[in-house]
Amino acid sequence: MDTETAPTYKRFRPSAYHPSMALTWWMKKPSYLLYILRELTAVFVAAYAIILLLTVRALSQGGEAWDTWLATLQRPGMILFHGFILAFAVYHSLTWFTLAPTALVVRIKDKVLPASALIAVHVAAWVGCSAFIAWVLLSA
Amino acid sequence: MDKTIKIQVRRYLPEKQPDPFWQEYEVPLEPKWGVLDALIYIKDHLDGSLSYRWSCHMGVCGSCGMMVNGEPALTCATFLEEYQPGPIRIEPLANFKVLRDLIIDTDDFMGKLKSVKPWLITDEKRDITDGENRQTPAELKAFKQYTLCINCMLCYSACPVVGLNEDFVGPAAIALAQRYNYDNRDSGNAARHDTLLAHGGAFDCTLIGECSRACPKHVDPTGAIQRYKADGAMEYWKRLIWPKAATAPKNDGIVKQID
Repeated sequence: MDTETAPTYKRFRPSAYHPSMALTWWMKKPSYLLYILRELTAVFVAAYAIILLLTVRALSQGGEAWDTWLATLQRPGMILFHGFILAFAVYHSLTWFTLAPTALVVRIKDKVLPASALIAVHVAAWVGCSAFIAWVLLSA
Repeated sequence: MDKTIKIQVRRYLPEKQPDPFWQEYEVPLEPKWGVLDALIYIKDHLDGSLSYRWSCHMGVCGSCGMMVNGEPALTCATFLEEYQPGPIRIEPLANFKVLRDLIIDTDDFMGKLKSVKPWLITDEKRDITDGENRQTPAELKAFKQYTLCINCMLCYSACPVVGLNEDFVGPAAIALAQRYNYDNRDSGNAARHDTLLAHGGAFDCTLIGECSRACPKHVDPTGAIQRYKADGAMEYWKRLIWPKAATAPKNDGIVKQID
């Protein structure tokens, strides 16, 4: 975009230089790195979705396939991978809920609900839902 | 001269050499001197060829934004004492074309600012005898925060998306669009949707949050953009499903002149 205030004027306006961003820009600041990690969580969440799909497929293929799949899941490497996924999923959820107040402005009468209250409500709902799902799965 | 501090300035003098270079100066470490005072000292006493912008010296005009030790800052509000023992590295604002020394090309920013139509758009015919167009404190509160922007462009320097995607309209422009979108006297949302929903609009923001951290006036462009995303998404679906129900574009406010 150019406002073209005086396009013909060149004498004291020599060519400008435009510094480009290094490929490693996200390593320059801790906040940039945390942002990139947050974006990277999507890869791990997607990986878990694929694992879930493979589980459903194994279930549809009968008892033998199911047992083989269960054995695969119990390998140390797979358990370690699940640990990674859990850590990234928790980080993803926490960052998601802490960013919620930036998009959401809740007004009650004249007062604006403080960000901390919004985050607390979100996290409480998240913990509640997780506890309910855990109860359903573990009591079955 | 008792105590001194070293100032390293990234200079660019295209008529002398094609590439930017670093130059070091030593200035007195006076208490209460800002980085801008050091630059003024250099220009007055050490090197008259140094170019930089400044005006008000009190954090209102938004002219003296530069990178100080890699962070965007208003140099009038950034103090030498905080950087002891030095050296302090001063560069032109990141993500902008540089014309000379610490002077950046603001044309791109001005064009982007204009593209979101940051002025009052209304079809309401008002006469001078109608008096002021008054608002209640609550109506003012809905957008007042976004009026505090001083166009210093620090948020553009802090934002990696601006650096990676030159079409991105940017944090300050969207915050200023929201300043009018949330103004109850304005009805120009539809005209602004055209820019903000398009390529380079609000949805190019990936929510890094650096703009709000850099903002010296606490405008919170991050919040303005995320709130727009919620409104913009509604508008997008409205336009897709039932175009007639979507807010009809009105005049852009330019044609309305004083008769």
